[in-house]
Amino acid sequence: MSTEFLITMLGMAVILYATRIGGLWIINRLPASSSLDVWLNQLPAVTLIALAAPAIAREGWIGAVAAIAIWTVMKVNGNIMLAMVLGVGIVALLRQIG
Amino acid sequence: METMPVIDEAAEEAAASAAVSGSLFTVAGVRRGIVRTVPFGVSAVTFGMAFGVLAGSLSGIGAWGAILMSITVYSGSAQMVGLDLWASQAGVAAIWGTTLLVSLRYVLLGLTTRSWFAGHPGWFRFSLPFVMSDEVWALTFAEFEQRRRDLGFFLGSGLMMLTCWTAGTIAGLAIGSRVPDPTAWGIDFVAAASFTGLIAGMYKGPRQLPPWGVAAVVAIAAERWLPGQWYILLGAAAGMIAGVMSERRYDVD
Repeated sequence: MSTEFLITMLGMAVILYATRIGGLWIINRLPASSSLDVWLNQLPAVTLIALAAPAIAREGWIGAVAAIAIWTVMKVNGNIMLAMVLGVGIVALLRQIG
Repeated sequence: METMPVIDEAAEEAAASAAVSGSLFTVAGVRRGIVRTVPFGVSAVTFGMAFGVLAGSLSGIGAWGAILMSITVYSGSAQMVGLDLWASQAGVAAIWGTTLLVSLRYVLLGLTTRSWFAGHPGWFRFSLPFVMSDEVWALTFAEFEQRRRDLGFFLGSGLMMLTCWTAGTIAGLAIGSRVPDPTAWGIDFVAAASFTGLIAGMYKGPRQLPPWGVAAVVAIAAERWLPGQWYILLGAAAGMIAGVMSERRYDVD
């Protein structure tokens, strides 16, 4: 390990740690308010969508089929592990064909 | 969401009553977090191996550098992008800047965790988030949504991911380029699949669809046409603004 890499890595570690504790640190310094909650309540779903949507879109029609299957399982019996395994299985299988 | 058998009714009730004022922290929760994270651990091992192989092929890093990086940085996206820039000799400042951009989503996720940590010792807030990943946050969020409010789950899940990611890195360094291809079994789709399931679980009615559509379209477009890693932040911000606007419209109606 070169010194330059060590410095680069330690800097990255500090950045990651700061972002991981940062959100909690900020929110604990803001007064609890209902108008803030209106914004925060949106955050979980839209962040997950921003993470997942490009990954699904990259798969094209295969991603769309998998997403519909996952959604259907969640609506029918709500078992997320089953939904996930099915979605991954569909992507693996259809990639062989498509 | 999955219904779990009630193992301990008293603990279940205690967790539910903690809903008002924070959360519990139990060993059972830690164990449950570890178990529930196994499928994501498989994915982390595989990608850790890919990272290990890449790190092993570059000069100036070495096995210890790669292992230490996986333990201290513990972020697939940041480490992969970091090594990419390291290989192209982009310089420390560029690597740090990109790392920050890729990792700012953790700030967003952290904003939603206030109630998780309420009532726990202050040092929890500076130690536990170290193990947070997208998956750890998402799984813990789902747990809390089901009124199993146990911060132990977060720690167990995070330690599982950290261990798998590091173990994968070591394996990748050891076996070199003969690692399995994550795309062969759809393992690269594990995170997206679980996030889609969680999103479906958050669906309460059609009024959520317009803001969710905005988040998806902006994220997809930004990922496709913007350089760098802006898509997560832009997609989330656009979706959040659209969500608040639509809530206000419904309030007026």
